[in-house]
Amino acid sequence: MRKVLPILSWIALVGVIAPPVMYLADFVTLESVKTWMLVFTIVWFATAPLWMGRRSG
Amino acid sequence: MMQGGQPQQYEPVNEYEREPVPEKARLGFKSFIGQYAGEHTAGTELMIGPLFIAAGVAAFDLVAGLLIGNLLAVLSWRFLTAPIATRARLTLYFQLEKICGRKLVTLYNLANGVMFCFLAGSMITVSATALGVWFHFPMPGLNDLYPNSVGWVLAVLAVGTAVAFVAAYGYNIVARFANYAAPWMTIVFFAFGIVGLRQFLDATGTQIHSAADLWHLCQTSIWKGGDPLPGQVKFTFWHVMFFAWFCNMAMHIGMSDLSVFRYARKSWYGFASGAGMYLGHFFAWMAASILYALQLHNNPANTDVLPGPLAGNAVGVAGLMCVIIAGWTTANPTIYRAGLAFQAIFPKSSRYRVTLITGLIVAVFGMFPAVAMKLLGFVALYGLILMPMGAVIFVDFWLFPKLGLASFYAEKSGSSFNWAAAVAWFATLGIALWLVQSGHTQIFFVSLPGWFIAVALYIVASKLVQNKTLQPRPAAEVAHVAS
Repeated sequence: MRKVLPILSWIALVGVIAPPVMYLADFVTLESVKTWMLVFTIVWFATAPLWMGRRSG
Repeated sequence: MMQGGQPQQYEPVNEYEREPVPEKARLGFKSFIGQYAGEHTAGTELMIGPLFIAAGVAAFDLVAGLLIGNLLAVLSWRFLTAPIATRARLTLYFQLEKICGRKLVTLYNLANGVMFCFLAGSMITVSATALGVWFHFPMPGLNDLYPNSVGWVLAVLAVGTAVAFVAAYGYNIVARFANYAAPWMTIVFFAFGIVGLRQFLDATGTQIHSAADLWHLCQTSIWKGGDPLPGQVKFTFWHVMFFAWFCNMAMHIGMSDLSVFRYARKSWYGFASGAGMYLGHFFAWMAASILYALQLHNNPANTDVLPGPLAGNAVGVAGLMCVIIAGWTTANPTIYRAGLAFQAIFPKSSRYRVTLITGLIVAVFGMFPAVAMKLLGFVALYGLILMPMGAVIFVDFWLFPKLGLASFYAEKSGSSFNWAAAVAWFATLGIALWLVQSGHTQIFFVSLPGWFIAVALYIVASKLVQNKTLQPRPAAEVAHVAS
């Protein structure tokens, strides 16, 4: 689980920036940008505190 | 969690306050990268970027000014602050106390604490603008100095009181939360810029096929230059460069970050400040300014600089969360530091009570949009006020041994008020403020000559003061500035 959480968090960060980039490329609407950024924001804050700043092992 | 009536486990760790940081406690380069990147992607960036647009900045002036000004700031940390910090390894306050004496340091603490209160107040102001999006109360305009609605006062009071209680009783919780939020906030700032750019392309019907097309859009639609908005100072390349260099002057040239870099293993870790400068004071400022430029493009009559609506319109709830969190997580340590500064003046008072009262004062300051709306000038003033003491530390550390003068004069003479340092501080401020008030220069530029004035005054005044009170000292005795 400890190995999965950081991966989930980093995926969430990519998920936060990906919608704006796709919006810049005119692939998605602004509304979906707002929705997906919020979803991935929630994922980030749900997972990052579980591993950031904690010692492994 | 409370222990013995005091939430001591939530108090930030303040170690080695009156002794050099030992080898075992020193930190690696990565620690400083993270700290600077987090601290300088703050709520106030959302004000500063738009205020550049309000100041009529042109694209080249902004980009070149920020690149060079931020480089100068990084070099100041690297070559002024970090070398002293990694040799003396003392906090700013302890080092100043040795030089200036307890009473003068108390005065410095008071000035520092008051400036921290204003700064934290502007951060609360930023956070409260996000609440306006949800609750639809009238919010202050660009040239407003006073609160303009009951809703605004209540919103600032709510945010400010919450931040004050948390700073007093739950500092470490927010500090930890700030660490989790920092990477996400940086990403959301990038998102502001990207979404703003797309909307500019749509609004202007521009097609981007090359870097030249993008630069043309920047010059003609985003950072157009020309006259500033009414009530604002026109910003040129020089304004941007000096602002970027000096907006953290209190920390580098003013030596506040001696307390940070005393933990660094090597002085070159000063380059870590570049993470904060180029993420926060380059990309974040530009991204925030794009959103404001878009607002003006869509409605030139809407000159309000309100980070909440700007962020909410760009990326929705995630943007509003970013505004609240950015303001909150940076106001938290600022209020805490202000509380510590005031507690040094009232040592018998509980730190929790002092921090709580400080936070409530900050909340009142935050109701007045004057500081936030005049943030460019305020930040320059903040650096100027604390800068002369940085010059005093620099001279004391590097030049006094070569000039045959005593470093750490107050400690050696037993003085509680070093008049030489006081003259250097007050006279420099007096001269600098006169230069600004009389129209010889602007607040953004005066700190550079001010530093040299402070250096010269401290040397001359010290010669006079020390000749009266201390015997000349042999060169070997003053060789504390080892390699």
